[in-house]
Amino acid sequence: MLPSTAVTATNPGRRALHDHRLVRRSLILLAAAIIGVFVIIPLANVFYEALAKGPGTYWKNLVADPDTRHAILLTLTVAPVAVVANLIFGVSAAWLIARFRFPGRALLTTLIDLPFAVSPVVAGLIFVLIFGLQGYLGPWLREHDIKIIFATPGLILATAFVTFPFVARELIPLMEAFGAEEEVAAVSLGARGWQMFRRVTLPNIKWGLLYGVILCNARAMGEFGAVYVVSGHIAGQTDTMPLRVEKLFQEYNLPGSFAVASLLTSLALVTLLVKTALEWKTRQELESRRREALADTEAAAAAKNAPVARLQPLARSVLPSARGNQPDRSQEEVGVGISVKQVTKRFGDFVALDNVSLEVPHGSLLALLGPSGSGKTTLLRIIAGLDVPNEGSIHYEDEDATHRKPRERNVGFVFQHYALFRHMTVFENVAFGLRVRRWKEPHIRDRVHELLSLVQLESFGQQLPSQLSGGQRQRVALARALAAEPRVLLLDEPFGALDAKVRQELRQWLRRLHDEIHVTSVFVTHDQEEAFEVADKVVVMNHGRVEQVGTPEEVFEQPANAFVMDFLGNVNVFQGRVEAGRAVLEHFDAAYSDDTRGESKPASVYVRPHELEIDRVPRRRSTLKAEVLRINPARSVVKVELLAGEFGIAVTVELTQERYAELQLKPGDTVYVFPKRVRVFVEDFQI
Amino acid sequence: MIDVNRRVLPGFHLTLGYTLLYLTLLVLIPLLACLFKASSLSLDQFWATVWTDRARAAYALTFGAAFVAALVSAVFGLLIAWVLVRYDVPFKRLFDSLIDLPFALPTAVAGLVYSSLYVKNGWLGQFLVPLGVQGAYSRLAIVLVLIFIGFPFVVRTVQPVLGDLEAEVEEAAACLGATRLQTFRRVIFPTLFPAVVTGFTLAFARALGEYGSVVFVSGNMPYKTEIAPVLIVARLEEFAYGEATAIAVVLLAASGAMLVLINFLERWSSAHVA
Repeated sequence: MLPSTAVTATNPGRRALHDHRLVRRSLILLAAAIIGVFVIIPLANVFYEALAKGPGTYWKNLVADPDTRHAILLTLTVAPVAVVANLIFGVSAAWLIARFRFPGRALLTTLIDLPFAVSPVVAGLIFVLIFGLQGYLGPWLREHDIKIIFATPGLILATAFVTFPFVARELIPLMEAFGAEEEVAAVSLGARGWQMFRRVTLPNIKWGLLYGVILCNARAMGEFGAVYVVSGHIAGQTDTMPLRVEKLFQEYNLPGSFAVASLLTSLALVTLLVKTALEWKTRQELESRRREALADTEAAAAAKNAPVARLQPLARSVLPSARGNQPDRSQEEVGVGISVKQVTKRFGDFVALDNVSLEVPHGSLLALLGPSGSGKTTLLRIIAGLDVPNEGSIHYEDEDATHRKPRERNVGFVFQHYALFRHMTVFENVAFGLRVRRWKEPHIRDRVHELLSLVQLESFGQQLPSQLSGGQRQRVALARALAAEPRVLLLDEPFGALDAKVRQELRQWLRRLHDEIHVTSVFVTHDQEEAFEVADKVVVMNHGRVEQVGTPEEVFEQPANAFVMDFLGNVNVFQGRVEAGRAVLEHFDAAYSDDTRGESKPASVYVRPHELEIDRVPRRRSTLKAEVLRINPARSVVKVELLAGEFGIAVTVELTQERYAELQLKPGDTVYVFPKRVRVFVEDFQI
Repeated sequence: MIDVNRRVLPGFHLTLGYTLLYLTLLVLIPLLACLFKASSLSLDQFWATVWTDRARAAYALTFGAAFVAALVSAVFGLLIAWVLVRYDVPFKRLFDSLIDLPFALPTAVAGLVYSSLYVKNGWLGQFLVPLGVQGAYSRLAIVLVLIFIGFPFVVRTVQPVLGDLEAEVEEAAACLGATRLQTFRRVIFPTLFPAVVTGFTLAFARALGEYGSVVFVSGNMPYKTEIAPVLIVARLEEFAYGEATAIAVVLLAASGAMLVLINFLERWSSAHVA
């Protein structure tokens, strides 16, 4: 749902949403009365009662009483320990639950909430049952002179139990909302676990984390029931502030009780203040994220800002290539950069890759082309090490990399949605892979500047990703992937999120860039035009299988099968039969020399629209009578849609403008269509 | 994405191990110890402990007060959420922040101040007591303080759903000739209902276990204003651990049921909102 359709008070234009003035007023009054009676009056009363006997008495009540002083200190000891313990647990649990799928995950999530549902008194009781004098561990503890119940450790345990879920509950949805993209990017750039956590995860979750800590702390300091049970109410020893409030109350020392209460209330108010600020901060961050995601799809905006048009032809040798001196592309390629050997990948019952083998020549640029679900992205992720094949192996040059972690493979991976670290500047993004490899600072600076000039973003180093257009971000992602001199560069639909014009410019630029740096590259696309324009070789995939490998020309001119033919551009399909060395339709026929045994088989005849010719009269033997339905002349070629009455099928023909002018076609005309070139596919065979 | 991230992202085994260890040590073992302790009583003993007249009165009060308070909280919470989302009110941000006060304020403080507000010479008691309304040391007192603790849950569950409500839906209803009231009753409320129920359940669950505030305001009179957690503490103070545990198990069973219910409701309402 778009945020703009949400109903808010700042939606004055929506008349239908306006309630009657009287209704509005009485509802507001009622709400104000409820908040007044239940929240504001009690709040005021705490401070009023605390200060009723003057500030001097108030101060004396707080400080002069040694038991109260001790209670304040004790609370300031117990709460932080419990909070830190739950903080560590919360981060650990959130990472586990938000980032991994495993059996029992739902149960674990429920169990984390368990302490929320347990009455605090019961929470205290369970620790008494274990550690108390008559508890399971009681005799042993007494023998070793360890005091847990009626002492500080018991208070910490009970407090930790009651505040157990706070941090985890806050972090899990936040981390799920952020997604794992940036972390996967960090790992692919070579970060180790701790480096990734410190540099990527922590900066992203810091406000939410603080928020969880604040809530956890408020509850920890204010906990009463659980602490009441385990404390034994020893004044000056085990009384925390809330317990002190109760004791003074029982002793009819109301001003004293309210003095301590006012301190706790102030603490609660500070908590609210920090909480509101943090909520605002987290919301802002999530919203800026959402806006960026929206901006990606808003083609017009990207086109307007993207200075891709300024992209210059690359200066020579800006980048000392990863693999040193590579031969010029015009020379013969040497060796194999990546080989994929009989790789099969299953997701449950679904076979994403079915015995795929593939070789990427060293220094070449290869496109994996196929419809969605064909397995091309899975293959790319397996090459990167982001997925593991069920069978088969991946080799980089001569080395078997199948079981290497992504971090160890030294690949540059460019993600479809960039996965830039949004809390880092452009410079820091590019520097990331170098920092985690502990490069020296001057080297990092030189290398980053080199790359930023390569992608022509020299002046953008200090900007944040959110300040860049889609095309610029994609170039930052590319620079980041190239910074650590990867052995192979992998690009997952690199231009998929960009609008048509930027995409066009960026892919020409990528081609030139590759001509410069010659790093063995594989990129995934579903756009055949893009594959043809950029790649040295195209791999057409379908249903987890490689249908054909070849140069763009080869796959287009000599499609290996009906699927490739169909996928690469428009095509007219005619059903017929193959017999005695010819493919026969009603009025078409064509040589089909593969099968001369004379056995009649069903076959499909494929003809591209530009390989059909139209005539006013039936000039040849092999023609098809048809009626002109529609003409679309508004392009470099004229598209004519026809209906072949005898077959009951629609045929599309593309004519040159000259031929169209010559024929002077109008809708309704009867014409004769014949093929200049046909391809016949019988099952898996072809002409 | 079954094993995708587990291979790519580090820390699966570490966090799984630590999370389970901490959960087991701090939560699961102590809770199991409680069940184990209760099982040392024979069924008759158990029954005799948890089903005394005094205990029954305490359960009835605990559940009854929590239920009434959660119900009132649901109404109050819906009303406040509506006002906060739909209307321009002065100091809206302030009011909005104050809603969270019951989450942040120690319950002992809430108990203390509520008991002082509603006594005969308290700020509110001076008007109410002459009218015969005993807002302190009574069952009403328990309900009042439980409303304070419960209503923010409803506000906070209803607010985002109300905020995400598509304006077009209401406009469509208006175009089709519905009055505002009809629109609310037939279009808006059914959408909000799952969130209201979730908020109600959260408030109810919280009220069931509440101790700190109630102990101040109720007066803790057996059969009259004594809630179940108070009964546990009373048994504990007599060092009758077995009996205390037996009553705790009853409360644990109730909270376990609430947890299952909350989980179910959250799934149900997210399915209905989405």
